[in-house]
Amino acid sequence: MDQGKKIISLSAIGVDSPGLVSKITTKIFDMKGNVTDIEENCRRGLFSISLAVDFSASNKSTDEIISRLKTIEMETDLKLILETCDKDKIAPEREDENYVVTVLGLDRPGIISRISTFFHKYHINIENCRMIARGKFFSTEMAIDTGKMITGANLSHNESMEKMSGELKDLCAEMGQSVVIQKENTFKKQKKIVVFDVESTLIQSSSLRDFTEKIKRRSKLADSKVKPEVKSGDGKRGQAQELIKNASALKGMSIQDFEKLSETLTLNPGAFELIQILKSMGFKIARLSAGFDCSMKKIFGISGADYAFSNTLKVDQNDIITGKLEEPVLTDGTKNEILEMIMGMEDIRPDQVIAVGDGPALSRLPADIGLTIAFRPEDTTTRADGIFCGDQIINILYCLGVPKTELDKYLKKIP
Amino acid sequence: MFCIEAEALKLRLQVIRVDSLREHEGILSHVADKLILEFKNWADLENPVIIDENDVVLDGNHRTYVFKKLGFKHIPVCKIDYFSKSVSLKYWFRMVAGTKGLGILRRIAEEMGGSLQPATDKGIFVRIMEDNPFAYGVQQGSLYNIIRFPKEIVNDAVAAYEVLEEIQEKLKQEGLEIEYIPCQSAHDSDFCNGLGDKNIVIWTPQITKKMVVDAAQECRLFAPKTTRHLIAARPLNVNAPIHWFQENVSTEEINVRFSEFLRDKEIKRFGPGQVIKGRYYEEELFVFYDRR
Repeated sequence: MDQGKKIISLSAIGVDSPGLVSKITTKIFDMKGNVTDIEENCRRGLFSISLAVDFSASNKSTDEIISRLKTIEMETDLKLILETCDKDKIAPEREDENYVVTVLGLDRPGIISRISTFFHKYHINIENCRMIARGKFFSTEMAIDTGKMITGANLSHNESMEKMSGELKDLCAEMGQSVVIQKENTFKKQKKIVVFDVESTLIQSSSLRDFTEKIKRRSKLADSKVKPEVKSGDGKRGQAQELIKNASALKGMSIQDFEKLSETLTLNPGAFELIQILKSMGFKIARLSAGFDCSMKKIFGISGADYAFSNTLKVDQNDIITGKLEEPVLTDGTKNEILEMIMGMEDIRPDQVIAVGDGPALSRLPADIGLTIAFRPEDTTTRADGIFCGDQIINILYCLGVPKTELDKYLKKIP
Repeated sequence: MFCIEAEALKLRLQVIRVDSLREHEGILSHVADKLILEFKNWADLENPVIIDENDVVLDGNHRTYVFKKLGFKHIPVCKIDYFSKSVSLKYWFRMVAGTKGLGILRRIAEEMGGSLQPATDKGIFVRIMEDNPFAYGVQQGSLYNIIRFPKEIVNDAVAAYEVLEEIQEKLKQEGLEIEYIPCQSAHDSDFCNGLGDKNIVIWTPQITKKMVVDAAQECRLFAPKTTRHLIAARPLNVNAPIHWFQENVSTEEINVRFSEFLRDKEIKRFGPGQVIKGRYYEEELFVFYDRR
């Protein structure tokens, strides 16, 4: 065996025609070349292919190999670029340093330029880049290799990744883009369940605020001995929490009246459709809420969930709210335990879970969840794989690695 | 035995001999056949059958049938106090779709020796139904009628449901479809308003818990879809390996195994109003699951 044999990279572009991959790889095989990496694309009749081929086992010289490979140009009408490189200079595949970055939002000039410049600054290699959606709405998915990433002084690779991710999220937020950064090996794992923190993701925060105000008014809290603890401008989570604390303020109201009040609550745009599509894709759906069961029933109605947990207001035999909640009261703290239970019941691992919530909700879930998406978090430095700043929750679909053609099929069904 | 103290009910999980179970109502053959087919692919029994102190099956009639049919020796059950206030006996009403009025029911009742008479209003109708456990109610729009049979034809609760089955069969022969609906639906104004004139609801005889137990102890079966028990608490997701219940071991031995199996699991308690595995539960739940 010729130890001096090198790895040869072959790139070819041209007009597509049947049998191109076969012709190229047969030529390689005839010279005992071993394809160590390959990527082929065909877009609108244009063909491109890149291969890394190890010719260590070939009894031909490098010059002869290159000369024979060149004949592919004549045989296929493709334009070929051939390069040789030392075997030891080829970086080994290290999956733990590979990430998938999905950027999405309204299209504007310069998004890819600024992000690729950002990666360049960090010596991060973009290995693959594909457009998932283009038009008014833009989404691109990049496979990046952080193996040679510049790490900060005294920072481990993981710490540097965290720092880099934070800066990338800031950059995307500045451009009005949402971004999700997932480890490639986790990204590739089949996800099985999507868990929504209801108050922070599925329900419109303005409607939640109105709902709270209405309850205050209807319950005549001003005259009640039970003083409301609902604080304006307290944020989405605060509102939900305060609702639970103030269940006693609902004492005396009929459950029917309370359900009518719940009609105030509206879902975020696309939330209903997202659940339907995820279900038709085969995902299990779990809704975790610290709100009240009768409100959830009213707003979600037919949009089924496999799991839905919330608090239940106790009522007497005349359907009048007693002001007490059924025990145990579900709080943000117990959502983690419920998720553990669901994983146990479904026999799934945390890396098969997608959790969607705001920062505080996600921080309470197990750290090894497969994908965490913070939907419109108040704090953009929140610990999550992705930060969604737009109001279209349905765009989560772009982060699941679903092929564009399949995604289009589902999205077309939406009126 | 593995005991769970729910808020208003004690749940006693154990394994008993299949042949000691006493069903109180018949099965729907299409449901049972489907369950037998599915059952052969199951590795675990998800939820135990709920029974009373005298081994009368309250919830899980079809599962019991399958266990008996497939020759199982034992079955996991959850024993409760049936006469507790936390266990309500409700009924399955029948909705007859596509009728052209009460004429057909009147004719069938009269052919069978009974009579159909109007009730003045809903209040009186409800009272008559409550006071006469062997009477049938007929609701069509805002009209309420009562069907009664003489004692020679309907002399007890089981017979009342047998006659109901016969009425149903005759309605089916006339090309009408029968749907089972929870009795509470008939009190829901949205549901009633949506009925229109072509849908008739038959209120089934409002039998008592004692009648259920008496019939089961006498080995007499009510018609399928007679009772609908609302039990204030239930265990879920027990998932006991089915093959255990085929083994030729003693009841004591399998109970030890079953209790240890349950002790190894985590239990999470929930108040009513949760959705688990796509089903909405109005009762307190004790969900078993395996530790990660």
